[in-house]
Amino acid sequence: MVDLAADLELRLTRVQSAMRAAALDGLVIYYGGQHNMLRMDQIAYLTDYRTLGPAVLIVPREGSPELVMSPVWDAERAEETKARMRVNAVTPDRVLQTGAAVAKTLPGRIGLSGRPIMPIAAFDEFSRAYGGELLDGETIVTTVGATRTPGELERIERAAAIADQGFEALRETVRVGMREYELAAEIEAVMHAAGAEDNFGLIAAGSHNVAIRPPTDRRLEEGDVIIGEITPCYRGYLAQLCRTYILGEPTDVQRTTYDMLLAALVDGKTAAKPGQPSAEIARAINGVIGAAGYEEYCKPPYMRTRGHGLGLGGVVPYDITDGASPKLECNMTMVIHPNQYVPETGYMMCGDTVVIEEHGPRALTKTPLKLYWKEA
Amino acid sequence: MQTLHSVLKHGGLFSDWELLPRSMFEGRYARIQAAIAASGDDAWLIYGDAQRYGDIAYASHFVPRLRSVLVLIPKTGKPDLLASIGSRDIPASKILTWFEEMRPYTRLPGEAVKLINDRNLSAARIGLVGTRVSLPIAEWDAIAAELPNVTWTERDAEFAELRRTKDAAEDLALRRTADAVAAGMRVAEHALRPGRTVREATAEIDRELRFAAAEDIRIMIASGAGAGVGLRPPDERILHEGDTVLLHIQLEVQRYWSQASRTFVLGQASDVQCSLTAHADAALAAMVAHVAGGVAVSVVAAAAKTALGDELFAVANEYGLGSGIGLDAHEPPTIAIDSTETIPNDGALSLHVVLHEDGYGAIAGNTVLVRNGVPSVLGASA
Repeated sequence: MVDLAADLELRLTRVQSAMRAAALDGLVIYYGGQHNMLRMDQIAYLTDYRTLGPAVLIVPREGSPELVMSPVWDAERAEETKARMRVNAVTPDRVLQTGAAVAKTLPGRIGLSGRPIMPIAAFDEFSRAYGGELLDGETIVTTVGATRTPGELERIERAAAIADQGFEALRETVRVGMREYELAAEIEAVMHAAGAEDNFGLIAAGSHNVAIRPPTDRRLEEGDVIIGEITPCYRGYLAQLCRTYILGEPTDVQRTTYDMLLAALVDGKTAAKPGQPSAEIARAINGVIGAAGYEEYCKPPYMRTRGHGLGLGGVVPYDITDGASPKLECNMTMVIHPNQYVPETGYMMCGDTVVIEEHGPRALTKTPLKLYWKEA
Repeated sequence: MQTLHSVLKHGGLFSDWELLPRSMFEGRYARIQAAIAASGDDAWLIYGDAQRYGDIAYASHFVPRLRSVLVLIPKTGKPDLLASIGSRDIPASKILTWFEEMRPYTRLPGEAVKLINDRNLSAARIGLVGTRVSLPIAEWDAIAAELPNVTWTERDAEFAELRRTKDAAEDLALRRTADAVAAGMRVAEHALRPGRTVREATAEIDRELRFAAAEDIRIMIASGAGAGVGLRPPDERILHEGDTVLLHIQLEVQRYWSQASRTFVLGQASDVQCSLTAHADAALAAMVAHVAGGVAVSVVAAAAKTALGDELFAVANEYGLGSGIGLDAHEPPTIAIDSTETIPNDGALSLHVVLHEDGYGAIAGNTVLVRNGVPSVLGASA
């Protein structure tokens, strides 16, 4: 069990060091409370607190940060984290003005992170109340947070184990006649009980899927190909498992297609070495699928990305495409998924969450890699 | 009540056109276009995201599961919907709206500008809905810079007025969601039991709600000593015999939200606990009793204050006493002593009372439908 207080202190120390390197005397981090996979939750990274609404974290180049949060009744949850910070709980209408007032107490050059997600009204209110110049501080925390600390990795490993439990639930509960959202509910219930507070879960079924999508009220039918992107969130951290399950015996072409995906995953993982650009993963996957005659299906509109960084929301290396440039580093975490549409079978899914280590990736999701199907 | 935003709307996402028929949306669309004409604008641009999608859903029935959406409604003619999805996602997304046209985008500003130019609105007067509270400043700056000849107007108030009155079809949607919440509360009666964690118990409730076709579920809870402190998202705390549990369920089905809040005691409740629970229940009942079309919202809040007294009212006020509810979990009017708003003749309210005192806690809350000025509590069987 990692010492969480020490882990959070390590993150703060690294961020403050990066601030000094960027000649910033303070960093203002805004978060709107809209947790998702598109953006790293920088406030949670430093505080281990996931906000209910808009919040502002003011980080000095030395010393303790101050979190301005709302609602007041949630203050205890913020205060009981192991992070070194002062919690300033205010009513929702006071968050931005109070945040600006605290930021004004910092001397020197102040950076802002969060402008890309700040609504017009929020930005106007904050900048008017602050009054001074705010420099671009967008990448300070995302750069430091590109690799996982031991405490973060521990949580992602737990999330990955929960994802495995989720797929096991799919295998145990799936049946012809149930609605897609009912299957999703069964998976969700198992993962929730296992500790997941949320799930970036998509699950779809059909005889010929075009892409992954949210579950609908469609009833499952014999022969359906069920594709699942199971992505539990454990204490803010996401892990993802992609697998395919057929409600009946697979056809030869389904087996062949899935073997191609498995081979692509092997090559994708082989390319995931420290020092390599993340694009190499996509190129390796596309190489296998292209060699099988599906090169045109490796591009939009059929395919977009071969994986993405996973952690506290969206993290480096972000989307893994053949044009992506971030270099892989030890302790980066991501999902590698050669999910693929081919005309003969429709969309099939296959992917694991991995952590990059010295000699290559280590899979954190443990569900055996194969095509799953329901025997009669 | 504020809740933890979900990383994705990952429940059943589809459209029940029997519950909310296309004809209802066509009627709404006509009213929106009449309002555009009355405002003197050439079109309205409506922005929403997964957190605040009510304006978008009102016009289109569409709900973004993750990112954002922009809808353009011209004074005459057909609407356009820009969704932050890939082109391969369009078939699955089109089932969520009655609109015929949907364009995918990866970067909003460029596509928004293209759309406005395509519709010959580059020198028009365009009303903005939902942009100030939701549209990121960076995206707005990029759009405005590319369209220097557009005259922009703020139309949030006009659109809110359109949404203020709820029609009969919306009543049915609200009732369906409220019934699902009530079913969740009934599951809670046996799911909340000593020896299991809060998360295990809420997983069982969550399953029930998802089987009712929930699109989004928010649960806030407090138990044991925490009942005297504050609500929070479910965690790993183990429930014990004698615990008080405060449970708040907020649920979205077919885009419509409902909520309810209940106090459970795992065993025998103490006299102090019973008294505090009775206060919460009495304050909620007092608020409901004062709900009527045209009544000042402040009167409803004052009823809670009278029932609770100053000290307990101050505690309840920290959480707020509720608001309108429908396509957004929080809609006007906000129930507050200093409010100048009135209750619509046909609308819906979410009312709740949360109390903490001397280590004890209690909660009571319901969704209240107002039809022809008369209130009725939804899902009251729980």
